[in-house]
Formats: sequence, structure tokens, C-alpha cells
Amino acid sequence: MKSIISIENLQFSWPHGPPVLEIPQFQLAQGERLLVQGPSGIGKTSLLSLISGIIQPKARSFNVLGEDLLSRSAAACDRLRGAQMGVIFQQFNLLPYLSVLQNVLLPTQLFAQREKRCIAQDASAQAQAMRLLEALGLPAAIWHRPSHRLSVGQQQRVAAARALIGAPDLILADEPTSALDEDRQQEFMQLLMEQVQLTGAACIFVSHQRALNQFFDRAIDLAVMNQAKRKAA
Amino acid sequence: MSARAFSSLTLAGRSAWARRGPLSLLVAAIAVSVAMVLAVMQLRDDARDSFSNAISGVDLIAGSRTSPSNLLLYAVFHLGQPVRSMSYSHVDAIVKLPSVAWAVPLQLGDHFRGFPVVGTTPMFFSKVGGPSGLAFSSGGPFAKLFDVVIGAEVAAKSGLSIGSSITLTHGANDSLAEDHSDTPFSVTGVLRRTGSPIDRSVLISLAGFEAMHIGWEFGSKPKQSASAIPSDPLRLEPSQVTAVFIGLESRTQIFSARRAIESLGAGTLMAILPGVTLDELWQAFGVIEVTLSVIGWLVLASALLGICATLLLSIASRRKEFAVLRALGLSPAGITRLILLESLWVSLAGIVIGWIMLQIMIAMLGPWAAQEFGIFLQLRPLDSQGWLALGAVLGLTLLASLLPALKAMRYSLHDGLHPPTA
Repeated sequence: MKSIISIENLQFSWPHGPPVLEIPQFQLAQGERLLVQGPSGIGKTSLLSLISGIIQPKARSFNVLGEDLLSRSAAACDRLRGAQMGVIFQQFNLLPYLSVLQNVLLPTQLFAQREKRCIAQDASAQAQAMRLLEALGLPAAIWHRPSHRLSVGQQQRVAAARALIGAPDLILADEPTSALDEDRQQEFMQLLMEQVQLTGAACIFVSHQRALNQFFDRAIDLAVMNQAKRKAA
Repeated sequence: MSARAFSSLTLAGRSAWARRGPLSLLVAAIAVSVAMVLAVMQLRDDARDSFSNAISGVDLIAGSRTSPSNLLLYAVFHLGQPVRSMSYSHVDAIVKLPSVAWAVPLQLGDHFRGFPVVGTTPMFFSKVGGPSGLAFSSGGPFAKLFDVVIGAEVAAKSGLSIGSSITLTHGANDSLAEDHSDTPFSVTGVLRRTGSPIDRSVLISLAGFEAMHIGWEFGSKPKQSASAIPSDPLRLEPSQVTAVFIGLESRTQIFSARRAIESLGAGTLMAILPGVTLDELWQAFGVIEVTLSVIGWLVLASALLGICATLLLSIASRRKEFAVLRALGLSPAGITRLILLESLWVSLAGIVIGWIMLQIMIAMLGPWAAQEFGIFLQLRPLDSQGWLALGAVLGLTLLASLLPALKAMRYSLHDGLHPPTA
């Protein structure tokens, strides 16, 4: 199967800091769902930051979604992320001054490519936003509410809808369930992964929670894969 | 272009609206300084206009010896200390000088509801206020003894029109003053607006001025009614006048004419060039003008520091917002742009509100400024200098938000995908 992420000999450290990541080999296939586990501080978030192009990597090769991030400008990486990736944080995903619907529609307003895909799939960005919100179990009554008035669980689902809108090729999630209680975690993952499967996106989830394995094609332990930490220890 | 321009604008607007409390205070501070700076400019320009309108057509002003500015202020603008009167025989002598084309004597001292009464000759209407003289919006010059012509402002304020009967008040405008109730005047003309003190004047003939003062030699109302008024108005020539407006045959003779006039009175007379005296007055006012301008710009400077401080504080608390925007594909430059856009909105709102404040101020304080200072404020579009000042305000606001914007850019580069969870 075609791989959409291909990384060789990645090395990363913050300026003047010790090595954070040393990964000899990392691959992700199209549509593959990967769980990255490991204790906190192992560099999981850094790995997501590198893949999303927010920070610049050092590696022999670093290809994401057909782009060589090593030779791309920071602005080109930002564009790639905005147009073809969906990102979910642990919490504080939403802009508090926008309504639920406005938050979900943001990627389509910022990037024409995302809007075009919505139009191809659901006739309009608005229609797709509503379909996703509904599928993620958010009732229409709250769509026009300011997002800061939602519960944390609801906020995470809105964030999921925003990550999924316009069918990006890659979903990145950084501990999306750790702010939720256990019952909600399973429910949230169920709904989210259904939609991920429908769009056919590949996804990388970072989590320290073992109970999520069932939702993924593959799970890796960054503590094993990351040689920087082994050396330090 | 990573982010579409429309969304940047909307985002900046919505984000700013969510923080409208502190931002509106900044808008207010900018508005106050904008109003202040523009007000100083307007005051200066309008004062210049109203003062020079009032003396247009007049080459020299003659009167009893005093300071040139005092004579100008009192005779033309009815401000400051009354000047001593000059003998009417000197007016006759001035008219006979070969270089003098015309001379219009003025008699001041009485009031009508706070508006100064000016005793003069019908020539006033054809010579003062420019080459074509003064225009009437209705009626015409006074012809009979107790005819009166009123300025546009007087007409607007008092509601008088042609045929109305009015009673003038003796002496200065205060509550103890007595009315010339036994010599009522009737309105024969209303002047068109000139934007000068003439708008606030009540004009009567010298003979009328003389007639209403018969029996008032001791400064108060005579016991008997004024039956002594002669039927022939020509015999009511005044013995004294306050000042004389003079037009010359040729402006090249202005200094010799001035010397000739001053020698008539053997040291008791003076003649001033109103334009020159006005310029001297401006130099004195210049200090005030600069002071007011400086205050305006200082208010603006403090508003700008406020913007800088408020934005710097808000940047720290908006790190999460920036991290979300970064995750959505906005570049650090895009985030900088958001902050600059916000300052742009704040600045534009401040400018617009400041300008509206100024218009309200002019509408409310205009009549008072005209009465107290003889300055006729007008509602009018901005001139090039005003636009320049507004441009400066806009530019300075953006400059003040540059530091916070750069700080936001540094945060967004450093925070990566990991928003601080505080």
C-alpha cells in the first residue's frame, strides 16, 4: 500500500536542549490508523509537531502527503497542514468567540481545497459541517451556541468535526480523550473512528491510554522506537 | 497566500468583539485624541476665516490712540476693552483726504439681547465684507431714523423678520442695563450669513444711534420721554464715533494715508492696517495653538501606549487561540497579521468616533464660540491637513501594535502544537 508518511533518520531537539527524538524509520500507509503510545515526556507531541510541519525537522528524508518537508518553506508546510490535515488537541481546541458551526467551518474558510471537497461530497461546506456534527452526536440546538458554553466532551466532538471537514488525508490527534471521563472516551472514539473510516483518512493518535488499542490498525510504543530516550537513560 | 483574506478580517473582527470591553476603552482614548487634534486644526482655520472675512475690503481702521490689537478687537470683533471715542470732525477730515476713497464711521456701545449694536452709515453695506459688499437675504439697508438691519445669526436666534419692532439696550450686556424702550426700532433688512462678526451685529444709522441717546447724557434713562427728537435726521450728526473703516483709492498709498490720518489728530488718532494687526494677533495665539496641538498628540501618545500595553497583556492570554489557529494552517505571519488587523479596526473606530465627536462639539459649542470669541465654527469636510493627521494616527497605532504582534509571532513559533494549558 502507498505510504503517505515516510521518515528516515529523524533527529530532533529544541534549541540548546538535549535530543528529544531519534527515530531511524517511520512509515504510515494511506488510510492507516496508528496509535502512538508512551509515557509523557517521551516526545509524542514533538513527533506530531514535526509531521504537521509546525516545527522544522532534521532527517535524511521526511515526506508527508507527497511533500518533502525538508525542502519546503515554513509557509508551504503551514499550507499543507491547513489544506490536508486535521488536528485535535487534548483540550482548548475551539475559538471561544466563534459559535460551534463557525468553528467547524473555519478550515473551509481558510483553505479553498477543503471547501471544494465539501461541495463535492455534500453540496456545501455548511451541509457537511451539519452532517458531521449530527454524526458525532451534537444536537442542532447547540450548533449556534458560543463554543465556550459547551461541556468538554461536546467541545472535543466539535473539534473532531472541524478536523474531519473537507476530508483531509491525515488526522493528527494529541491525547484527544484524556480530558474525558472513561465512559465518554469509548463513545467519543467510537463516533470519531467511524467518521475517520468514512472519509478514508489516515490518522495518528498520540495517547498514553492503553484501552484505545481496539480502534487502530497498529500501535507503536514511542519509548521503544525513540532511541534518544534510551541513550539518555 | 495561505489564509484567505476574508477570513482573516472576519476572525480579527470576531476576536476583537469578544474582547470589546478593554478594546472600547482604547477606541475611546484614540477618539478623544483625534477629536482634540482635529478641533485645534478646525479652531485655527475657522478663526482665521472668520477674522479675515470681517475685515475684507477694509484697508485701514482709524480710532483713538490705543494698542493696534485693542482697536482691531473692539471695532471689528466687539471683544476686549472699549476704546475711547474719536471726534466726528476727524471723520470729516479723513473723508476729505485725497487718498481716501471711502470712510465708514462706527458707533458701538449698546446691545440687543447680547448682540452688539453698531451705528454706521449705509455705505457699510456696500464697502465692507469684500468687493461686492454685503448681501441681504431679505429687505435692504436702513433708510429711516429708527430702521435696523440685523445679521443672519441675530435673525436666526431672535426669530425676527422684516417689520418686527425691537428695543435696544443701553450699554454693556448685563442685567442692570436699561432698555431704550421709548425709541423702538423696526427691522428693514436681514443680512445673508458671512461667517464673520457681522452675522451677530445689529446695524442702525448713526443718526438713529444719536436719537435714542438724547437725554441719556448721564448714562441712564431720561425722566421725560424723548420728545426732543428733531424731525430732520440730518441735524442728528454725532459728535463722536468709535472707529472708522477706511478704503483707499489705491493700496500703494497705504502708508502715506496712514501718516496723513494720524497727523490729523495731533497724536490722539491712530490708523491700523487690519491685516497686519491680525497677523500679529495670530503670532500671540500661535503659542496657544501649539500648546493645544501638543496636548492632543500627547493624549494620542498615551492612547498608543495603552494599545501597546493592552495588546502585550492580551497576547499572553491568547496563546491557546494562536496555537489553534496555527494548527488550522495559519502561519506565524498570518497571526501577526491578525493582531495588526485588530489594531487597524481599533484605530479606524477611534478615528471615526473622534470625528463624529468633533462634529457634535462644533454643533453644540459653535454659538458659544461665536458669541465669546467671534470664531464661527463650521461643519465641513476634512482638508488635506486633517486627512494627514488621521493618516498619522492610523500609522502610529499600527506601529504601537508591532511589538505585541512580533511577540505573538515568537510565541506561535515556540509553542508548536502544544498550547499552554494554563
